[in-house]
Formats: sequence, C-alpha cells, structure tokens
Amino acid sequence: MLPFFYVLITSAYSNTLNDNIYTSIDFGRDYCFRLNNFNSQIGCQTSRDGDSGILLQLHSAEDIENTLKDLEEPFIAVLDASIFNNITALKLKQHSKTRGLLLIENEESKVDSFSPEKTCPGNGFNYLENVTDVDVSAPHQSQCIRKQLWNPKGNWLSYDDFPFGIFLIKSKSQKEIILSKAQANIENYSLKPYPLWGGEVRSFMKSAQNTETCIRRGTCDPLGGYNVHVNLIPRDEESKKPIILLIAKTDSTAFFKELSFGEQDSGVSTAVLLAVIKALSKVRDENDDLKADIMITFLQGESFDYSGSQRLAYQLNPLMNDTLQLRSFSLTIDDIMCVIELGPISTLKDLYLYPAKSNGMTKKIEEFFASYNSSNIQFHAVEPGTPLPPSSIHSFLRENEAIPCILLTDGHDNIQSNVFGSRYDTLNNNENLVSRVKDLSEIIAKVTVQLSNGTGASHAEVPESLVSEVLDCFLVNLNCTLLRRIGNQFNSTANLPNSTLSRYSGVRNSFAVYLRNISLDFSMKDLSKIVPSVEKCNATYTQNWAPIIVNDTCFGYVVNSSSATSPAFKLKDYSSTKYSTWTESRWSPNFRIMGSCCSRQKKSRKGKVVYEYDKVPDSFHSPDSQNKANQQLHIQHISERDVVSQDLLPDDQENGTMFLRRITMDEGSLRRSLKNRHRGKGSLSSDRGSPSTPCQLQKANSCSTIFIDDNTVSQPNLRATLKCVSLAIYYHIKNRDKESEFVDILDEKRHPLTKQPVPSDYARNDPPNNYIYRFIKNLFVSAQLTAECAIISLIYIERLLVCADICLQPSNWKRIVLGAILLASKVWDDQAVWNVDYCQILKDMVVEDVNELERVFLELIQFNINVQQSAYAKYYFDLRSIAEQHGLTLPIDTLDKKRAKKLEARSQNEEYDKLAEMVESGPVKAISLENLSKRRPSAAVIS
Amino acid sequence: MSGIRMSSVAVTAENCENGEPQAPEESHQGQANIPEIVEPEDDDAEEQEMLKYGAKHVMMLIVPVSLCMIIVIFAIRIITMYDQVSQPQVYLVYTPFNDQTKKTTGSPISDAVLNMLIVLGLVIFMTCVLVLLYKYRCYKVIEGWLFLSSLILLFMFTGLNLHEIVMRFNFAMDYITISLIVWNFGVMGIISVHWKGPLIVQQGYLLIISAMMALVFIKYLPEWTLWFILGGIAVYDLFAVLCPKGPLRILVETAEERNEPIFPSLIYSSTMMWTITMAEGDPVSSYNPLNSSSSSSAQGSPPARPQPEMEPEEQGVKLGLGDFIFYSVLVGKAATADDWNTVMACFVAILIGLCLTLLILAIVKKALPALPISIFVGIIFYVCTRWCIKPMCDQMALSQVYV
Amino acid sequence: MAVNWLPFIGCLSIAFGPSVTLFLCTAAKEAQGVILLITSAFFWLLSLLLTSLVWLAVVPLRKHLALTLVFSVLFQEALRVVFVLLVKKTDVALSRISRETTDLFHGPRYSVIAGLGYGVMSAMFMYVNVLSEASGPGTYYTPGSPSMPIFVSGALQASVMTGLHVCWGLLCSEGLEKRSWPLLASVTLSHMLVSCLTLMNEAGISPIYAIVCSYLILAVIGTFTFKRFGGNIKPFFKIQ
Repeated sequence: MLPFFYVLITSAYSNTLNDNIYTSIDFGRDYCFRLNNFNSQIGCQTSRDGDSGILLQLHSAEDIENTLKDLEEPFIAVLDASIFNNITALKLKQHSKTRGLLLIENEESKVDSFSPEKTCPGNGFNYLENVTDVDVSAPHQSQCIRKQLWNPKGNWLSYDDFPFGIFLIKSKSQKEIILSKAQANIENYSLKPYPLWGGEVRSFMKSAQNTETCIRRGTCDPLGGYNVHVNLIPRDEESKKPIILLIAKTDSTAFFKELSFGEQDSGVSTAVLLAVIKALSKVRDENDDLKADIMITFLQGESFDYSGSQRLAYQLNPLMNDTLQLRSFSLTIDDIMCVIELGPISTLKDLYLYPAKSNGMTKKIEEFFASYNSSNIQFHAVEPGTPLPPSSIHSFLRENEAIPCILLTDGHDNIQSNVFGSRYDTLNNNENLVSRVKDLSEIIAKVTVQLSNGTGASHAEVPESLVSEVLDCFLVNLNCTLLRRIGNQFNSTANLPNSTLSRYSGVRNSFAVYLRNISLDFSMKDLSKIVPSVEKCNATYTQNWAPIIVNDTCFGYVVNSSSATSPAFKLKDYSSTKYSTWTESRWSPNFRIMGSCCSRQKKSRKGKVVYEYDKVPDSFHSPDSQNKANQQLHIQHISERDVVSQDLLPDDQENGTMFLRRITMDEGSLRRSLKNRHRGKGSLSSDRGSPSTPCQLQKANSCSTIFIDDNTVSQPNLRATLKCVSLAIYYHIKNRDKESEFVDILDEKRHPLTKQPVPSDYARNDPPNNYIYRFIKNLFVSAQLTAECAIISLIYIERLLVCADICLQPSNWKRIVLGAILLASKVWDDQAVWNVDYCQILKDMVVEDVNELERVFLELIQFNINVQQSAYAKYYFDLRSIAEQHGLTLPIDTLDKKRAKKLEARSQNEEYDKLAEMVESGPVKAISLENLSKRRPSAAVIS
Repeated sequence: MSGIRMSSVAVTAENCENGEPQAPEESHQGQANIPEIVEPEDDDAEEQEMLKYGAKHVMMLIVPVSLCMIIVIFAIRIITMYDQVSQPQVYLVYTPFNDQTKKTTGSPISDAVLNMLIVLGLVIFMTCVLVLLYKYRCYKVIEGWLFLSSLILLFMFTGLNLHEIVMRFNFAMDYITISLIVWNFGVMGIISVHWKGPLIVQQGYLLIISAMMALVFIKYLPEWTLWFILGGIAVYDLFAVLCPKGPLRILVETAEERNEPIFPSLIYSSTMMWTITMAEGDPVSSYNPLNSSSSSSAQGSPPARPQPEMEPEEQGVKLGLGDFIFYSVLVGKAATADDWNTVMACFVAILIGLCLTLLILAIVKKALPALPISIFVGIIFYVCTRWCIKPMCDQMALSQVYV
Repeated sequence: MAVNWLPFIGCLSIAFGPSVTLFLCTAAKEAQGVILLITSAFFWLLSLLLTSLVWLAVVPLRKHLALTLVFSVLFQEALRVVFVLLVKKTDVALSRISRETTDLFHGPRYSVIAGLGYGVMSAMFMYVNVLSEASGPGTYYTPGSPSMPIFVSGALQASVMTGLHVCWGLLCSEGLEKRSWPLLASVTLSHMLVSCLTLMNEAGISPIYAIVCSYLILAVIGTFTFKRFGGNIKPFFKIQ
C-alpha cells in the first residue's frame, strides 16, 4: 500500500505545466532592498505581483544606449556587475521599460574605484550643519559646509531610488541559466515573432515613502544594532575620574547591504581598537593606578547618519531621561575628558589628527602622538582651521561642543579609499599590515595612558600573533581561531558562520556579539587576589566586576552593550532632522525565468517576515543590566525555540551525553565507555568482564542461552539506575569546568530545602556520591517513581545545563535534581505526584517554592520536555557503561521465559503501537507530501 | 404540492453556542440539516405538480449552492490568507490535538479522529440543548442566540476578510472607511435576515454568511480533522434525521405540530416567509386556516403568508445553511490545492449528490438528510481526482492530447 | 504573478464562448435541462475516472498516451450510451407516473444538452489548468509550434471538442433510438479519429494541423447531423 501511494504522489507532482514554464531562482539576500529615512526612500522596489520582461544582456553604457533606443517591450537587463555604475544605472532608470536588473558578478573583473556613497557622508547630521549663517571661515566645522568633498569618488548610487529590482548573481549555476537564456534572446531577437526568454523579478517592499509612514503602518524596522562599551576597570562614581573615550565606527555599508565588507572603512580601525584594549589591559595589570578611566566604545549604525554615536551622545546627555545604564555605574557627558576617534584607516603610513576644536587638550594629544613618529607610521597634525571630516565626533559636538575631540584617520582632506561604501571595499594586501596595526595600537595605548597619568607607559604591548588573529577574524573569515577559542572558553553556544563578516548593521546583527566576546576576553582581569576562592566568584565578592570563571580562575570584566538605534525612535520623532531616522523595509523577494523549457527547482516559500533576526547567543546574556534588557527580547515561546541551543542539546543524536564526557575527563576512559555504548545490544553487553567483577567468567551469549541481568531498556532496574544517575550527577559536580553565575531560584541558600541552617560552606565542598544517592533514593522511594523517571530527569538536568549555560555545583545541585525529578515524574508518570506531595516528602518546603522552581526550570529548558526514544536509549546505555566501570552491574542470569516476559513487557506493546502507527501513517505521508508541493511563489503577508 | 423543505435545526444549536462571545468561530459546526419531504396527498394533480415543479425546486437549490461554492473558491484563490500556512498556525479551540499544541498523539489520523469526536460531541450536545429549548418554547433565548451569531459573523468576519483583501491588494484604507463599510454591510444584513428585506438581499446575505463560515473552517481546522469532520457530520446527519429519536427529527416534528416555521436566519428559502411574519409582527397571525387544513401545505408553506398573491407552487424550497457551509468547505478545500481539475470534480460531484438526494426524496417520500450523499461522492472524487485524474490530465495537457 | 488579463480572457472566450452560448439558448431555459447537463458532465467525469484508473494501474500506459487515449475514447462512448439509455428509462418512468406524456427528457434538444455537458466537461478537464497558466506572464510553446503558444491552440482544440461532443451526443441518441449500429460505430470512430489527430501534437508536429483537421471533421459531422435531423435548424429554434 505504502509504495503504491508514493507512486501516486510522485506521478502526481512530476511535471505540471507550471513547472515547465517557470524556473525559480533563489538569491539568498544578494539584492538591494529598501531603506527609508525621514524624508525619502532609497533602494529597489518592484510592483506587488512582480515585474516581468524579456532578458536582455547589455555590455556597456553605449550598448545600453543603442539597444534601448528602439525597444518597445519591457525588459530585464542582465549586466556585468563591474559596469554597474551611476551612468548605466541612470540610463536604465530613465528608460521606461526597465523592469529589473540582474548583475552578474565576476571575480576577475574587480573594480578598483567605485563608491556608491554620498560625496559627503553623514551629510545633514554634522556639527553646525543645519545652523544658518555659519561663518564659513570658522574652524572645527564639517567639510560638508565648506563644500569640500570628503569622498570625491562618491556617486550617491546607494541613495538612489530604483523603481525596479536589482539582484546580484554569484552562484555558478544561476549565472549559467540566466546567461544562456539572455544569449538565446540575442540570437532570436532579430527574428520576431517570439518566443524570447523572459524573467519575473519580485522584491516587493512593504514600506512606503518615508519612515514616519512605514512605522505607522508597521512595515519597517529601525536600523541600529548594539554599541559595545569596554571599561578597563569598574568606575566608582564617587571619585569623579575623567573619562577618556576611544571610539571607532564598526559598521559599514554597500549597495548590496549584505555584502558590505567595509574593511578599509571600519575594519582596520576596529581591529586596531581591539588591539588597544589588549595593550591597555596589559598596562592595567602591571600597575593598577590610572588617573583617568578609559572607555573603549565600538559604535554601530554609523554609516546611516551616525545613529550609534547619536544614541550614545544622547544617552550621555543628563537632561535626556535615557541614561546609559552601564554595569554598576552611569555616565554623563561631563565626565568625558576627551574623545579620540579612529576614522577610516586603509594605509597605516601617514595618519592625520583632526581636532574638533583645537585647545590645550587636543594640542597635548597631538604632541603625544607626534612624539611617537617613526619611519613606518607618521602622525601629522593638520593645520588649525582645517574642517573636520565626517565622523562620529560630530554627534558628540552636537550634544556639547565643549568636548575636546580628535579624529585619527589617514585621509588628508579627502578619504583615502576609492571604494568607500561599496562591496569592493576589501583590504588590498598592504605589506606588513599586522606589524603596522600592532605599532599603531601600541602607540594609541601609550598615548592614552600618558593622557591619564601624564607619564608614558613603557609596557603597552600586543603580541603580534594576536593582532594577526584579530585581523583574520574581521577581514578574512569569521570562523577563525580567535573566535572559536573564545567560544569554547565561555562555552557560548553560538556557531560561527563560515564567511567574511558583513558589516551592514541592519536591524539586528551578531557582529556586536563577536566584538563583545573578543573585547571581554582581552579586557578581563584576574581577580584571584580579591576573591577568596573560585566558588565565591560571584557578584557579592567581586566588587563591581562582572564575574566570570575561565578554567578555574575567577576573572572580572566590565563590558557592556547598549542599543545603537537612533534617538529619533526613542523620541518617536520619525520625521526628525536632528537624528538619524533610517529604517529597513520588510519584503519577500523572488525571481523566476519563464519560457518553454527548464525544469524548475522548487523554491521553498519564505516565512512571513522574510528576514530572520540573528539569534543572540547565550554568551550575550550576561548579568549586566543592559543585557537583561536584551534577554527580554528573547523570551522563548515554545514555537520560537532558540534553534542555536536546540541543536546541541546533549540528547541530540550527534553529541554524546555530557556526564560521560565529565567522567572521561576524570578517568580518560573514553574509549571503552564509548565501545560499550556502541555495542548494539546494550542489554546483553553486560558480560565482557568489567573491571570490578573479575571473578565473573566471560559468559558468552549463544542462541540457546542468553545471559542477562534484571535491567533492560524497557525495564530498567530502579536501584541500579538510581545508583548510576547519582554517579552521573556526582561527576557533574566533581568535574564542573566553571562556576556559573548562579540562578537565584536554584541556589540552596536562598531557598533552603530543610529547616536546619545551610552550612556556610555549602557552596564549596562537593557532596559525596552516596549522599547524592540517598537524596535521590529518598525522593524516588517516597514518591514511588519509576526507574525511567530517573533517566528522564537526568536528561532534563543536562538540558538545563546546556540551555541555561550553568554547571551543577554544590550550591545548586539539590534543587536542580529536585526540579528535574519533579518534571520527569509529571511528564512520564500517568498520574503524577503533585507538588504538594513533594512538600510532604521534603518537610520544610513550601509549595509556592516548588512551583516557582518548576516554572523556572521549564523556562530555562525552553519548555522542551519531550524526549526522543533514541535519546532515552542512549542515556540508558551510557548509564550502563558507567555502571560497569564502577562495578554496579547486577548479577547475570540466564534468560528464561518468565523473566523475558517481565523484561519485555513494555517494549512488546510499544512494538504494537509502532506497527499500528506505521500502518496508518501511510496516507499521512502522502498527504503531507501534497502539502509540500502545494507551495507556489506568492507574496508574503506582513506580520 | 411538494414542499421540499430542508429545515435546519442543529444550526440553531450552533448559533446558541455562537452566542457565546468567547468562541464565535465554533458556531455552525453542527449545521447538519435535513432535507425533508412532506408527501402530498396521493392524487394525480399532486403528482403532476411535483413533476412539473420538482425540477424547478431542484434548480432553486442548485443555483444558490453553486453560487456559494463559487464565492468560496474565489475567496480562497484571491485572498491568499486562506491557502497560506500562517506561522504559527492557529486552530479552533475545539481541536486541541494538532501539531501546534504539543499534545499530539503522534499520528495525525488519531489526532483528527479525536478532534472530530470532540466537535461532533459538541454538535450533538448543542442540538439537544436546542431541542429542549424549543420543546419548552423559550423562543426568546433561541432568537437571541441566532441574532448574536449572525451579528458576530456579519461584523467580525466581514471586517477580517476586508482586512485581508486590503492587505492582499496593498491599498491603504483608513479605519473610518472600513468601519463605515462594515457597519453598513452588517446592519443591512441583520435587518434583512432577522426582520424584513427584499428576498434577493436576504438570500444573498445567507449565502455570504455561510461562505464566510466555510472559509473559517477551512482556515482554522487542521487538514485531517477537516476531512474527518466532513465525514462525521455527514454520518451524524444521517442518524439525526433518520432515527425516530434523532434530535433533528424530533425538533422538526415539534415544529410541524406546532405549525411554526423554523428560525429565519438558519434556512435558505426561495420564497418570502418569515419576513412577512416579522413585518406583521404578531405571532398569532402565524396560524392560518389554510395551513391547518392540510398538513402538507402547513409544512411547506410559511405561516401567515398572505394567501392571494402566492401561488401554491411558489412556496418555499428551503435548505439549511449548514448544507451550504459543508458543501463549500469541501470545494474550498479542493481549491486550496493549486489545481482546478480537483475543484471542478468536487463541484460536479456535490451537485450530482444534491440532485440524487432530491431524486431519492421524491421517490421514497420521507425525510432525508442532505449531506451524506453529496459529501461522500465529493470526497471520493476529491481523492480520485487528486491522485489519479490530475497526473494524467497534466500529462495530456503538456503534450496537448485531447481525448 | 502579475496577471495580464487580455490573453486570459481571449483564450477563455475562444474555449468556452460557444458552449456558453449554446448553454444559454438550450439548457438554461428549463430546470431539467440544467440537471441533465450536470448529470451528463458527471458521466463524462466517470469515464475519465475509469480511464485514469486504468492509466494508473497499467504502468506502461503512462509512457504511451496513445493507448490511454484509446481506452479513454472507448470508456467515453460506452458511458455515453449508458447515459442515453438511462435518460430514456427515467423519461419513460416519469411519463408513466404522470399519465400524460410531458416531454421531460425527450427530443433532440435534450440530446444536445447531454452532448454539451459531455463536451464542456471534457474541454474543462483538458484545458482549464492550461488556462490558469495563461494569466501568468510566462508562456509555453509545444516543441511543434514555435509561434503559437499552447494557450491558444489548446483553446481552439477545446472549443472544437465541445462542438464535436454536441454532435456526437445527438447522433448517439439518434442511433440508439433508431437502433442503427453504423451510426453508433461512426460516432465512436470519428471520436477516435479526432483524438488520434491530437497525437500529432505529442509527436512534435505543429498543433495547427490537428486543429484544422478537427474543425473540418466538425464541419462534416455537423452537416451530417443536420441532414440527419431534417436538414434544417428548426428543431433548435422550435425549442425556444
């Protein structure tokens, strides 16, 4: 019956006419979409149901001229990406029949001078810009007033509004399809009548004319991301230390927003600033007296009218009720001693210092820098009165023009790179980049220290290897050694994309997370002096430091992140001309070729809201206040469970159970435990002399006689299972790798299980194995739970450890185990034990406490309570293997009928269920297939 | 004379429940409706009339049924909401076993069966409640329920669908306009259904109401559950009508012996009836000598209809809205699959089923349910077309072979 | 999918315009006409169902449409005969019930309606999925015809099939009434012939030939039918 149905289905959806007409092509996100700001819309837009036209390959601007002169039917232009510039774009835009544009990307044809940006970035949002009657000769004002173009190559292409969709084609197969069709068209074009090959582009943007409108209609989201703030030491608010602010823009833009690598634009400066952090923290560790606080801030959204810096400046302004709540302290703009910004740096040879307003402080800074002039890096102070290039500094000046600011960049009265704001903005291999970055960062570090202490700092050094690692991460491939190392170190569950970083800040991006992790790793300080012991590594002991435990030493850090969306959105002033108002539209794109051959590769329909937000990995949820807020954004509903942590749950097929790892960490007996595990028949595997029972001969199973103990998957033996589970928990506690920051409800001191006072050292010394065993056995016996519950609860415990990113430790194990058992019994048993009854068992607990515990537990494991059979089996066999290692195996006996019945009781009727399921699930499969193929490209609904 | 009458009862039941504000969609679920023939006296004149007007009456049903189905089909093809799978898909409260809520029994079939049982139980319960209410003559309650249900349908779902249409064609419309449109539409509907209005308007509204109901089912019921409910309702209909103690049977009989029409907003009628009753407004006048004289005409003919201007053959052919709804659900479900062959097959199958029902009605001359034949023929043809006919037709269409 | 209506409406009216007109001036007049139409359509559906079952069961048929086609034609004609007989039976029964003979399902008009139902249904099933694509921006050309899109040729073919089915319906009932087997045989054969002509499309020959031939056959059969029914078109107008 089943195969028959498959035949039906396959035959049913083999080739309908539709499949023969259309070939869907999926572009990922390599197409231009729409952005809005206070008064305009930029980007691309097709009509709602898509635009269609014949495919027409064009080779040059003249070609466009000639071909389009006498063309009366609508067309979709196929263009080599290298000749897409403002001239060709204008020609296409002027032609009334243009319906779309496909750009064929060729690696070899690389453009070396193409900047779709404004000629004067941030135009309109610079200091003193929209003030009338400005004295033009006055210093420290933006070049945009002086009509002195900072980016002369800029052709404003990114800021154009195209009435048709523009797609970039990179994959080979897609190129071949499209080019072949376009070629065929050229051949047939002379001989009318048709058919010619056509295409239909659909990237319909929901948002319309400007931000105010689209926000009202809920069709767009504000751009932004996160600013990341790094302090070297926690600031105590009493001593009003001045703050030296080192800032750099970390994001960038391009015509195809997802392809903005912006390495000369912001990549190098980011790397330098990260290196500076390392150098400075080295200084800090050497001598702990910095007269001034130093804060390093990475800004995002800068490419869109400085939204990040505007937000920061806005937050720093005490008058606004949006104070920058950093961990354990807050800042106002008055605390700031000076701001040093790293502008675009591509060639690290000649660097120019632009003071916003030259005064004593900036003079001093210039002198300091000048004193470090060397053969390979030259610092030049621009002559006074030189206008200030577009930079984040403007935002600060607009809040308070008294702040001494200075910009460090390599452009002398215009930007150095020719590809500013384009996807070609990658670093052309400039020689000894690493050493130069190293030098520059060290110089900056030294200058900063000098600024704070007056005296130069001898030992501000960065290992060259580290610099190269950083550059590797941010300029080459995100899946780099540094990030991986840090990831393991904080066991963050983020999985790194294997691609070059795209710096488009977007609505949310994971870029801030990488920055945060790296700078955390660079800036954290060993607190073992002030913290009495590793167990005490929590907020109560580490004054003002955020505690974190890395390989059994207690570290402290002060790294915060704050939202980088423009203040306009906080003020709900969507038509603001004072603040950036960029928003990104929502859409659903789709392109298909039509004609008379081609098999169509079925394209899976996109979700309703088409772009997924980047998941913020767990390492981002750190206890500081700002990120609590972020966490609020991520309350998982069951339906939107965090996929990232989902796929590395311990009971997932790929990765083994955690406790085995713990044990093998202890005994290094991974191999044999694994061997035991992978031997198929677990229930029969109990022979093979286990070390603790040498007397037992090697009884071999034969067809006639099978040796088996009273412990099978279907019928686990309660006592044995409990012993094993307690062992597993014991090892979890024994070999925990870090002290996790405690979850309140799980802490035993806060919520004691018994009346008698919890011993003061409850958090330090590990409970012995038999103590754990007694605790669990007590629960199981008095609540009459089955052995399966024990295994299930072990699964839950490990899920909790993964999801909540914590460890079993003396302080919390009891409550975690209790919660797990609670849950397991409710899920597993048909008539579960009530929470009240647990209060009976553990005398001194109140039921509210139990409920709370249960709720928190559920939330932490993201309500993911169902257990696969495979997972259960895996746990069972792993438990067996540790049982064998510790000689807990039960006496073996031959398998007779009666025992067989008893042991197989459950599995038998499970088999029946399975059978029944298989029988009826035939048509189900069929139907579900039908659902699959029902999909047809259709416009997404806004949600 | 033939009073081919489909009196709908469970509809009322559902509307009772429909009155409950928290679960409006669940209304009408059990609109199992009984076409029921009243055998005329056995003399030639009667026969003659039956043959003459039988076909006419059949037409009077075929046209509106087809209209309703066409409305649903086009709604589904135009408003993309109905064939898209929304994320997360929301389902009716009464179908707890589905892939969304975690309590699934593993196989969709068993889920569907459970859901169907729940829904059917609900329907039966409501029907019984209604029968009791009707037996003990609390008309006001029933009227209230009907009123509320049609209120909710006409306002809420009109608004919903309008919203979807606006989204689909992406034109901006301000809330004032929308509310004006919905208000006018709804009020007009309420008046013409519950009080008085031109026949054509009333019929139109009844069609639209059932179409919207069908759309709701298609959207908010899990795939398999929908099919099982279709089957289940049909079977239930069979029993509820044919069993001597079937609730619908009882209710209809009471209605007959009380010599009253069944409630206006439930039954599609091809003639004026209660509107006039309402117009006159006094229930006393709903008894008239002619009706009481011959039982047949009593059932067929609306009470209190002004005798002179109504010819005997003009009296009402009535079909419960439930039939409209479930026919449309079947066809609409076919329409969600992107294939017109299936749609047409179901369409024709249902119409044939209807004709067959009426034919049998004319022969056996006893009360018959309208759903079973149509639904089962429809389902059979849905399956066959889906998996046998369509592939063949695709192949033929591709190679342009005509048989 | 941008909808361009012109080709869609054009093909629609080519394919179904004639049948709609015929429907309006025959079936739509009277209730039992419509019922008859639906019933005959249903019978055609049954025949197609049988065909598809055979097509599905006998795997080699899936490759060779020719065989499927033969089966299909045979089934159609068989069911047509069954249908006509059935109608006659009911007609007799009804006229017996009502003592005087009202022409319920009687006369050439009803044969026309029956044929129409057959034709419309077949045209729909063969063509409607193609038509639904005609609204999309893309077109499809059979290998045979680089110039004429499948939508137009399909529409023409569909309309001619409808016309032929009407004639066949008339001839079939006539043949059964007069017990003249050659007539029935000719119906079946001509049907077979026309269907086989469309096999040329599959073979990659331009559909125009098939269409022209079928129209010629339609002309021949049509005139023959007229002759058969008295050579004048009164019967059609007497109805009204």
